[in-house]
Amino acid sequence: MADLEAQVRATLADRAGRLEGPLPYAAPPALVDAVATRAAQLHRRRTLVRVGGAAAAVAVIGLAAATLVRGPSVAGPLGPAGSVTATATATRTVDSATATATATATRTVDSGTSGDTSAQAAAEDRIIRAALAADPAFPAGWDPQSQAVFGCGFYRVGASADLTYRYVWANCSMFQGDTVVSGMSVPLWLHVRGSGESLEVLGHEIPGDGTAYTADVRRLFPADLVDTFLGAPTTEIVRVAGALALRDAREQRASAAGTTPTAAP
Amino acid sequence: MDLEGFVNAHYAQLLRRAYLLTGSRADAEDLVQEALARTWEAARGRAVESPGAYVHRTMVNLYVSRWRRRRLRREDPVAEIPEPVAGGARHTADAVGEVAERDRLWRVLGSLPAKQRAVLVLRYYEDLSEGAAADLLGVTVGTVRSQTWKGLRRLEAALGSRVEGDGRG
Repeated sequence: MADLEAQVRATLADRAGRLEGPLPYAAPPALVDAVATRAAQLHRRRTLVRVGGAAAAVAVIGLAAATLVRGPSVAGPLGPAGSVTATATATRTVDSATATATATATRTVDSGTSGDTSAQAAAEDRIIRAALAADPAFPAGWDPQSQAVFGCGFYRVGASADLTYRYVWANCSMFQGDTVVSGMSVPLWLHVRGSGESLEVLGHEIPGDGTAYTADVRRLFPADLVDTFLGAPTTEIVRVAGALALRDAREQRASAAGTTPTAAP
Repeated sequence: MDLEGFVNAHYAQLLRRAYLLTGSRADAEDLVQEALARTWEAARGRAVESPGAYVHRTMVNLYVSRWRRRRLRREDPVAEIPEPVAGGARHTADAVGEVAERDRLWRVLGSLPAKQRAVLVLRYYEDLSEGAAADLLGVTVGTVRSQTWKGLRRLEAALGSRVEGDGRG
């Protein structure tokens, strides 16, 4: 057996040695790109699973305890049409993010925005959702024949000083009931004019996949938001945006049926 | 570390190990790419204590769980096994015979179950201890021992029957 072990060692070393010849010293650039693309795919899949999971969890919580409370926007000009009180965590997160954004001089999420009415914010949400629904990159463009509802939740992260550019985490998903059948949870750059009912979306952009993702995030968003979008803090933002998207879908369904929406996150 | 730095730091070692596991350069590259992507994605947004160890563990486990079927489907062509040269100088015949034996053993290694092959590569190429191999594979030391033994027994049996079948001793 010892002879055989020695033979195995020699064989493996021999084969590894044969490979060593053509091995480049550094990895081929194409591999780096391929790894980045695949990692982005995996990330998106994990995000979608999380969005779906959050939606299911939110539905259970909603049935048990959640109450939809219409009130002043808590997250700035592009914030949700009402505060989210299904979970204390979600509410705290929104408040905390708003406080952070307010402290940033380069962006304006100032106290004046708290004067926004929920109706104005809801109107803006609808306008933005309509703009995204026309974009084939978003779920509504993937399956226009589906009976599913295209719901969007926008977690406002910041805006330029003149409010021309808005920086949002958007969750736009197709919902069958409360189940996400496809969706997108991405940072979103918006170029807008006006506000409330008169808001006009002049342009929007989401970062590309793979190696383009990091570069696009840096290009589209202010430096102090780049880490937020590239790093761990997005987890809570993603969750809240997902809950808001579910609420939006429920409201649309209820509106179409002429009923009151069920408890939402 | 950025992605390019991370890939460059681990690529060569990963590719060598992946090649010994899969037996195919193309499959090795696929396996390495998938392991690197999974590690990079996992490290995104949360702390991975040791990305280097993580990527190696991910790759070996990916191979054990998923790669075997692919390897069977797409194996590298095996070079003709050179016959010993009758009447040639003894050292030449020995060298040729040795190469033939290695090629034969390499092919038999390729027929082993994925876990047995992984254990043999980790133990006899990487020189990992039974404990380290067990840790990497996420199994017990006892499993590493038994898989090593089974792998060697299968090699021995396959090589023995080949040798008899070839009429060479």
